[in-house]
Amino acid sequence: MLNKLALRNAKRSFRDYFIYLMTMILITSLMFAFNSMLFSKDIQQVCTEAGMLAAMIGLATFFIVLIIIWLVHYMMKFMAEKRGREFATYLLLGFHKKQIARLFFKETVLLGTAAFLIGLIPGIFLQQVMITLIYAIVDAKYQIHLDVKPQTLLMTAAIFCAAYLLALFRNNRRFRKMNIRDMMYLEQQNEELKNGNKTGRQWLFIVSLLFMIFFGWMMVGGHMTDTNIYPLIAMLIASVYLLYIGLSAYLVNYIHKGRPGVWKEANVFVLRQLSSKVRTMQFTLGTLTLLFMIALLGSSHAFMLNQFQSTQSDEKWPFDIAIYKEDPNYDFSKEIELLKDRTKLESEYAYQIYENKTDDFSKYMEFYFSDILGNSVAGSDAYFNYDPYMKLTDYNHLREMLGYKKVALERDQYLIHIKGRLEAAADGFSKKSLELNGEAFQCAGVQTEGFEQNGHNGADYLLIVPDEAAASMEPYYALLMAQVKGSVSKSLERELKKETNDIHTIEEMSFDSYSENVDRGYGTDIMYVKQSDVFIRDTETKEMKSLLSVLIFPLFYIGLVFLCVALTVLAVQQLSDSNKYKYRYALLKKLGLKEKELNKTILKQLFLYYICPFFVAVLISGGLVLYDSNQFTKFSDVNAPSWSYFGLSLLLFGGIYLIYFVATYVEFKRNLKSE
Amino acid sequence: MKELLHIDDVEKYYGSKNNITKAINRISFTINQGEFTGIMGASGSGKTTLLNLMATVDTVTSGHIWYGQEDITRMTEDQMSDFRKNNLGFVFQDYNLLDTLTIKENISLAMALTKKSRSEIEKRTHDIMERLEIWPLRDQFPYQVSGGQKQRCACARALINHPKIIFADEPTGALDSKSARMLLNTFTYMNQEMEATILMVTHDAFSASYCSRILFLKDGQIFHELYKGDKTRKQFLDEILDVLSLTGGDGYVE
Repeated sequence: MLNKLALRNAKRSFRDYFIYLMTMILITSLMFAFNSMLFSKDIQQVCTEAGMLAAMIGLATFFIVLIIIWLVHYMMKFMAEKRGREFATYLLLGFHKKQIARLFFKETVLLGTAAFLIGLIPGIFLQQVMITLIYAIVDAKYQIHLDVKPQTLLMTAAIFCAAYLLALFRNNRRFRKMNIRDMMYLEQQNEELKNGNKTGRQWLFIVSLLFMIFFGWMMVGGHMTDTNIYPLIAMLIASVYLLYIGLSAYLVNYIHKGRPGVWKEANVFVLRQLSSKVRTMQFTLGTLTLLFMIALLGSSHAFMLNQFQSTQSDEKWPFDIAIYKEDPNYDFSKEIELLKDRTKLESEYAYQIYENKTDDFSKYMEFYFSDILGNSVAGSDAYFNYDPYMKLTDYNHLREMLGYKKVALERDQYLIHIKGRLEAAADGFSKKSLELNGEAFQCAGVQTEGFEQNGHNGADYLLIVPDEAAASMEPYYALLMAQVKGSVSKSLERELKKETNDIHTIEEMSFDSYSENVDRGYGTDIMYVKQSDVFIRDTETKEMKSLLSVLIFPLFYIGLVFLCVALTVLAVQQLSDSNKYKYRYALLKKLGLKEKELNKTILKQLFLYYICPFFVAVLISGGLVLYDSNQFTKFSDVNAPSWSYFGLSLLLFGGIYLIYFVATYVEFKRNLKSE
Repeated sequence: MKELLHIDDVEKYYGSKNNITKAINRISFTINQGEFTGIMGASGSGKTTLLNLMATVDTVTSGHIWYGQEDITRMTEDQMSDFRKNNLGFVFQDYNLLDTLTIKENISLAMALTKKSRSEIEKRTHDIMERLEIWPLRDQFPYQVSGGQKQRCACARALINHPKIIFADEPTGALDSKSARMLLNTFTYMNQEMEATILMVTHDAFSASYCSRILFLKDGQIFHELYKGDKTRKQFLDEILDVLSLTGGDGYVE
């Protein structure tokens, strides 16, 4: 009989809390898909950073488990509260508290198991989608095939179970404290509607708003330091909570004073509903806002990294193969022989970079970083000791290889080729003339195409001079660039690297002495840095992409889960009260509200309620992301406008938001109409 | 008649230090086996609180409640659960049926908890449902039947374990007058034919006129008591209304 009761109750909960269960199903499938990455041979094959991926997914899982515990606990507390009367009836019939706790436990486990098992089906599908995506990112072919490993199942189930058990553990305490009388009359209680002293609380609203503005100013003005950033973030979080405590008081006051809009249509009803709801749920609303913020931040940064990984290989490694030799007179014939032998070589070019014992430009760059950008990115290994120069003929030859237009220079002209993000620095430098062997050279222009400028064709920048001017300079080092058709084999890559003594050198010397002895710069990239004598475009791209994917996927993972959890709590809060609303709306109808007006009122109520935490989250996280993406554009060569990442996240999340909103609206109206 | 329940100098306070409400103020009385007792009084007079105290739903501030030799004010929670299960039946204004169980299951559940055999449960459920004329509704769910039928189901549930006493809190409160009359007849039947002791809280004089004895409560104290004796129901009703008019109570007749 008790089992039957548990089963029936679980079935009813499945109907009543459909949105919650859909979310649990979604989380299960996401979790299954991500966990399967850890064990997938397919992923280990293509992903050079599989270990890192595991670590990141582990980290994401940690946060997700926390949030699931919160959600399950919240929902159980919520359901138990809603069912107070029912539990009181059990007690009256002579159930022991332990028996009720056990009954509730059984129901919860039944629901959890159902959500878990159903979630596995989309999970398997999602897993295939994700593997396909990762394969597509690293340009490999993937044959879709079913891959359900017992480890994945076990791990997902274990995480799920742990989250449920912890939540249940906390919930059992409630049952011990149950009191029949309180529970029987619980339903008659309404949201508290006190009109007491509101001025104090109202101020909280203003104060937290002011703090948020202050936070924005600190951030944009660059006043954040390592010491004040953590207290500031803690205060920002506190101010989110305080905002809601103040908001309810503010709304009540707004209604009291009969401000504009209050007495239009059924607005006073909607505003009162909202203020009482905000009051009873101020803590929950604060938490939801934080969840939305984290979700938006996560996905915006994921979009940023994605933009980076899809555009950067052309910027960083425009040549299929680039080889650096310290010895300026190095003979590349052995390497060229190798390439001809083992690849479909399209074109190759060996040349020298020159120096003039001057470092005007690198001095200028250091000044540019420290004084204009106000940071110290230009460290000791950023630039070569002397400014690197290239002959115009070499330059045009290389441009031709890359399919760029050729350029021409007058006798007394020079050209700057620099990374796009540093164009402003080049513009600043070009205003002065350049002194070379007693002659003044004028800047003929600044080029910013991708040009292998991380230690090969200069570091960050390169100066191009007419051939005659270069003739009087010293050769600095030697380079070989090659374009090939098809891919470069791993064995060839190893051989090329061996030829350059790349591995050898680093192994034999400690890093410090290595960097001291070798005069070489690697540029000022900070997003993705790699120092090497030999770059193979294919390998580098794959490595970068898989490294970044390792960050991108977990960021989206966290973002999605947090968003769905927050939306579920919002939806369930509204829907579970629909019985109370049924009465209230029936009353409004009796007071003469037409069906259409009624629908409008419902829509308004739900909309305000849904928009409240989202709006605050969008404002705060929008500010944070805009700041971050501005910084991001400054330090990487990605040119997409800085608002686009947040815009994309907003679009994605707005879509999911809309789905939940519509589902809630439809369900809400159905509940109002049902008997 | 044998004494069933003895209330001994019971007090119940609500609230905190500075704001104490005396809901029940030193009440003592006795209920005998087979009595159909009504408790009347205006809103806030303490009648539901008194019922809750007797029914182990609420705890006393001071005083004792004796069921024979057992003092329920001294029981632990688990003892109280078992006591409720074996000795008490409940009928409430809003039925308190479990919406996921059918009418029959709602009634059987109370007995299933006492670990009786399946056949015994079946037989007893069937018997009681027949007697209260709700057997045809056995496979319906609570939301599918009328308020009067729901309340009769609650009565059957209250009766199933042969309780010593049945507590009814405004049982007709949510019913129309016809269903209310039917329910009160059911109560009379339960009291007279099935020998159930019933204690009913009501503020409705018409409902109270079905009782054999009425206690009138005011400000947490018993201020009057009426016995029906050999009077007709009509005469008893008039008497009740007289008492109510004295106190300016809110009793009314449909």
